Order: sequence, then structure tokens, then C-alpha cells
Amino acid sequence: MHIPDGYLSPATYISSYAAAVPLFAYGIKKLKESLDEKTLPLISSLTALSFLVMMINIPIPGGTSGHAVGAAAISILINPWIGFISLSLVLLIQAVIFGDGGITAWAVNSLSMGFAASFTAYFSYRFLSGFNRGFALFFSGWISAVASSFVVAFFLGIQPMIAHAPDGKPLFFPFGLEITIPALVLSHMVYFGIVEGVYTFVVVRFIQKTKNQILGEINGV
Amino acid sequence: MFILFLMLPLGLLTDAPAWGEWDLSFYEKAIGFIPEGMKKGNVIDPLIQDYSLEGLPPAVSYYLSAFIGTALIFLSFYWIKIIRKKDER
Repeated sequence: MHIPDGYLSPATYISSYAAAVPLFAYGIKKLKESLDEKTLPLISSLTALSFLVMMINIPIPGGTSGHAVGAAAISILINPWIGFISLSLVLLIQAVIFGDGGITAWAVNSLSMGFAASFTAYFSYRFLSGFNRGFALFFSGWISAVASSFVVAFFLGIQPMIAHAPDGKPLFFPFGLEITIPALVLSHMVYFGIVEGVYTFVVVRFIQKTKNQILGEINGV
Repeated sequence: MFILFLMLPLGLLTDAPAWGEWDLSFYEKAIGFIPEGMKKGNVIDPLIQDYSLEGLPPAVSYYLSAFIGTALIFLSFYWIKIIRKKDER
């Protein structure tokens, strides 16, 4: 789901940066407010975990592969704004150091794997945790992966419509929504969403068991 | 986290790129040409392209990459915390 450079037209990435910058500013403010001696180890460990889990690519039938993201766990355990900022930081490091995801596409990648994932997970967990907390964790992870795949599919899929040469040849990503939505969203519903759901369940359960005392003090959006 | 670290080389098992992260030659085959804007590729040269360092076995450079990335993440948060302290003063 890391969109590389050259896939998005300038009109897309410039407007995505315009949309993302105020969100970054507010998220960083939130992060600064909640980062202290107690929360620093937890937030940075969860972010590092998210970086590592993205390195484990899981092949699926059909010649493609994907990975969990880990935004949902940070969002549920800490705060969706911090999930968004932490993931954006991971994506920035991946783009600058490892060439995984583009610089121009960084804002779109942050909006999909960071913002969309964190907030869908947060709200679905809030909504469902009253019924069954275990299921709520799994479902929040699942929905976060599906939601971010939808955002990626949307941004990729609109490229042939908005940017093509006079003869109709696409200048950037060549496949439209009718291809990107089924390919990305379905694979995330059936495979990677499940992986993300299990990851969220395991990580959140584990941290809640061991760090109950810290969590009590830093919750609240 | 330790367990995950041990699992890292599993990420190398698959050569299949993620959907949409294909090499440019894929587009040539699929649609007959490479879209103009995509030819330019990366706007910068990443330090460690695709998590692999030349001359090192893939598993070793994957571990090194994981270590570097993790270190950078911890440093960034530590740095934000320091900024916050300065703001308070």
C-alpha cells in the first residue's frame, strides 16, 4: 500500500499535502502534549513495532503480497492522533531511507495508512467494545486495513481520469477505480485485514495486561 | 517485539511485490507502454534502496535496516520530547 513516487499526478499530491499539513500540525501538537517519561517508551515501542511488522510481507494467492500496518493498535491504546503521527513518521523514514513509498506520495500514504486507519479503528473500537472487547479489537484492526486500502485505491484509481496525455494515454498510474477498488479493497478484506485484526488483538491485549497502570493516565482524545 | 524481530526474514520469502508496487516493466507488459510521469521514479536516492545493502546477504541487510529504522524511530520520539521540555521552560 506504499504508493511510490511517479504514481500520482502533481495535482493529486499537492492537494493531498495541503490537506495533510493542518492534520500533521494538530497531531504533532497532540503528541507533544502526551509525550513524557511514562508514555515515551510505549509510544515509541509501538511505532517501532509498526515499522517492523510492515517489513514482514505476506504473499497471497494471485502473485501479490502485503503486510499489516499496526496503526489500529496505537490508535486504540493511546490516541488516534498519535496513531496517525506515529505512522506518518514511520512512512517518512521508509520513504527517505529505504525508498519504500514515495516522497511526493508521503501525504497520501500518511492519510491512508495513518489517518484513515487510526480513526476508523478508534471509532469502531469505541462503538463495539461495549459488546465484546475481543471482537472489537479484531474488527477495528480489520476495518482499519480495509479503510486505508480504500483510500489508496481511490487515489490511484482517479489518476487516469485526471491526468492523461492529449491522446488519452495515462500519464501516471494507469488503472482506474474499476480495477483498483476490487483489487486492493477485496485483498484487504479477505487477507490483510485479518492479519491486521489479529495483530491488533494480540498487541493491544498484551500491552493492556502489562501496562494497565500507564494507560489509565494517558487516555482521552 | 523480540519475537517479531526473529520473524523478520520471513518478509524476504516473497518476491511478489505488493499490489501496485510493481517494477516499471510490468506496465510495459500489461498496457503496452510505461506512463510518462512514472518513468521519472524516485525524486531522491534512498540511502538503503529496498532494505538491501550491496555486498551483504539479504537477511543481514534486512536486519540492519530493521535496526536502523527502529533506532531512528526512538530517536525521533526522544527528540520531540526534548523539544517539548524546551517549550515548557
